Amino acid sequence: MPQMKYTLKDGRTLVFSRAQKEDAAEMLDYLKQVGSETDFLLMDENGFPGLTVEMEERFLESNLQCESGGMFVGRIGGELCCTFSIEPHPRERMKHIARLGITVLKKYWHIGAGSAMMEFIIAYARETGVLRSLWLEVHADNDRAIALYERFGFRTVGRYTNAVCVRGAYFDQLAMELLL
Amino acid sequence: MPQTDYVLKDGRTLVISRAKKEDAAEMLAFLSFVGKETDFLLNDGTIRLTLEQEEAFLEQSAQNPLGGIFTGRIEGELVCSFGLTSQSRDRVKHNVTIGLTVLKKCWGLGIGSAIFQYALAFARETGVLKNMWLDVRADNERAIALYQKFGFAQIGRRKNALFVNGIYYDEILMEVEL
Repeated sequence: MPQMKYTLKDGRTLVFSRAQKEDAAEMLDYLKQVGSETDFLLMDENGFPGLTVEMEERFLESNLQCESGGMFVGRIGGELCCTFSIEPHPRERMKHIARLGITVLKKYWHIGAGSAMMEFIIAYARETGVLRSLWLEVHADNDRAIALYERFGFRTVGRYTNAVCVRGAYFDQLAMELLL
Repeated sequence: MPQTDYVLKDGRTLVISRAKKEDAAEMLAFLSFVGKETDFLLNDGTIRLTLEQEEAFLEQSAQNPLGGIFTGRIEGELVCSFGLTSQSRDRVKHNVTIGLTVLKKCWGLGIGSAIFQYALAFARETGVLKNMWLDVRADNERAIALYQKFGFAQIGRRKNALFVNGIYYDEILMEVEL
């Protein structure tokens, strides 16, 4: 495992770990919170309707088995402040590629949490010995996120027209990739 | 409901319908067979699903108003299948991804075209779907030509996305507005 602790710009320590089954209820609340703070994610203030604590528990439990990815959380002083998922493709011929998704709670923006996650993710992915590239999808207007990804070597490799519908308005989604 | 019967270039008729739970064994045999006929698929002919899992999958797919698994038969024989995969998240549920497979001995008869005529009509009829996406191996010229014929445009390319028999291939991302 790569380094799990990162010192942020405000001096506090961000600690990464795999999300556990016990985190399920906290994760559902977190999804609603982070969904309410920005329009750039797939969830809104309702989180993912239909997702129950039991379903999330099963999801987190199965993620623990994943050898080249999984669901991770970042905590500051024990509080959940960010999450990221690394999802290797399920098919044999594509399992060397993993899809990445990250979120950061608004009150923890601008202190380097995103960069810490990217550092960890890339180190982790390289260590798997299986993954050869990472890819992600990002709302085409999410300049801050795009800048973060580009800083860590991601390049735009595709653009899906009107892929995302937010409150009745359609937005493009960029596909970005990083060759490890 | 889109048209289900398509007259092929050799005069025979292709009948398209939703796959049913009862088709499970036949589907697994079909997938195992076609996976070995061509290298262009994600399917290499190795079947990792049990009969029960395939039955459950087909049963669930049959309930989906925005997608599902479909078969094409000529005189009862399963000669092609295609999947329309929907997105569960609200903000992206107006998008659907298509994937298809045609038995090699039936290439050149117009089955691919029939599949797209059906799939695009199906997707448009939902009144919900707005975009159809697909991925194709960059060197699969015949498939790319078929997709372009039905209005798909290249919107991206992922490097070394497919690893087949020791070689990496790029993947082309395509989309069409419904």
